[in-house]
Amino acid sequence: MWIELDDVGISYGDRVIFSGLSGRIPERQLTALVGPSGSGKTSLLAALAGFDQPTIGRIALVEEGRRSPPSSREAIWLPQGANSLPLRSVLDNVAIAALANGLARTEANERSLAALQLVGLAQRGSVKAGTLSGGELQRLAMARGLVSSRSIILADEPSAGLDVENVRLVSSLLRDLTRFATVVVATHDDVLRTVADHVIDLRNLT
Amino acid sequence: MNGRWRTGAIFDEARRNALLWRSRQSIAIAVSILLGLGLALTSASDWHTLSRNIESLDLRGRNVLIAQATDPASPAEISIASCEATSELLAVERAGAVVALDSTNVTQLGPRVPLVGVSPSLLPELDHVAAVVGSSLGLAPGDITLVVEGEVLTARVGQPQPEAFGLNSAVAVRVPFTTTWTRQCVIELGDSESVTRQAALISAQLRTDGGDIAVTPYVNETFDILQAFGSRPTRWVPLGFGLLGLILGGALLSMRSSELAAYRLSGTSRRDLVILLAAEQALLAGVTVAFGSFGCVIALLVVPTMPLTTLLWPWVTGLTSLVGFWFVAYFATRRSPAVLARDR
Repeated sequence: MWIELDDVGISYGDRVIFSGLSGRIPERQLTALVGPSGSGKTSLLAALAGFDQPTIGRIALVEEGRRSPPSSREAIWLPQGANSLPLRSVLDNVAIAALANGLARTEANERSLAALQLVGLAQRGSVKAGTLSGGELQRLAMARGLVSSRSIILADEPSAGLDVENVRLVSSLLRDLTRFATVVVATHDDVLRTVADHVIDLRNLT
Repeated sequence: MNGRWRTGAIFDEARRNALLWRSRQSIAIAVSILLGLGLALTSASDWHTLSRNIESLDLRGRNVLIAQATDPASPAEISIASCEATSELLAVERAGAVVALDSTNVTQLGPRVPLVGVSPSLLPELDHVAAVVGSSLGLAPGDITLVVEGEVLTARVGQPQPEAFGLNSAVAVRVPFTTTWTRQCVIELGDSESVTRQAALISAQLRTDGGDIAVTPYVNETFDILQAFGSRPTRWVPLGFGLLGLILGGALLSMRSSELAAYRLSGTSRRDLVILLAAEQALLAGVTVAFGSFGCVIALLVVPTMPLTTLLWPWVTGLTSLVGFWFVAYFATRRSPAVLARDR
């Protein structure tokens, strides 16, 4: 599944954030949305997730020639800082993404354990999510992305607040996610920008 | 995979969230327990107070009507047969004539003890014994033998009677067979009967001779104790506690924006999230209902006058908090997940 952008623009009142964005986000590749703060990266991600509508233009998810509007059934959003259920275990936190997809608890837990293994958090499965560091929370969010079985993964500033080692780890994991899904990342980070297959720069679209 | 939570999984998730014995959730559980027990305590206290007030009024003669001459200067008499016949009325608990007799010497009580003739329809003990000794005369309760003017009588020391009967400080015997008219007929109505309405009906039933008679309540209540009970402020406690539960649930929800975002951003639909939150609140409401019902059952055993409808109180509280919370959850989840995610 790839994403088609047709003359997309986002404004808040009279203030135009960006406009005239056209092109495609290729299937199963890592696309980086770059631009300074306030350039509309998160707003575009929200539109790609189907949470908000672009002010003008059209976004379509394309699969086998069929076009459909963005929907949270197709995309999962990994927010900046990763939201968690702090009193519940890391495993439970990942499992909610599988449970929300209609899996039974046992199967959801099995998949979540496998995903935690992939993101290197298997040993932390039983601890409370509230005790995780920023880097670990990002990896938890990625594990959620893995078990959600969505074809589009949208990550908002996944490297924000992380040290160099964790940024490298997160970048590598995001690349791994492209084996399962189309990945779009809103980022300021040069490391992420360099590992991306495709870059959309919002800087010159205002 | 269908993009929706399974029903079993969503309720299991609610159980895991709601019944966490940690942090803020333990406060919610503790408050739910306290609300339930508070309901039972409030209800028991209300009924205990009402029972005490009614008992106190009963001892004076609440719901007792006295039929006697309107004007003491023009004496009127009432047929004892018609007076006793009023005890057959549905609204009447017991009724009968009270006739003052000469005071007498009682060996066990001393000289000049007041003696009254009473209809057995008013004092049923007189069907079993010859005399009933008033409870205020200082003898221990139970059956005794009484020596009145040298004559031996079987007697019973009676239970306290309403002050209106005038029997607690006297020895009561049956009205002599030769006496067929009385100046005073005493009628005790059922607890929930209207005194004014029954007074008019009973007045019409009595056969009289001489001047006019009036049927009047012995105790002039300045307010209707049952009506006052029905309009007591604490009757709103189940609703009030329900609103308290709702406010608590709403406050906890406002602290959980990040958690709501975690669910929404993990693919949980808004509808499923509302069901999850409502199920969590239902579990807390269930704790209130369980503890409230348990408390009410205990209260019913301690205060037997409490009506069984008290058992509905915890349900009113639980349903109020649940229905109210459903609206709160419905609006709380309207916010975009992207906005919820930023609201930490």
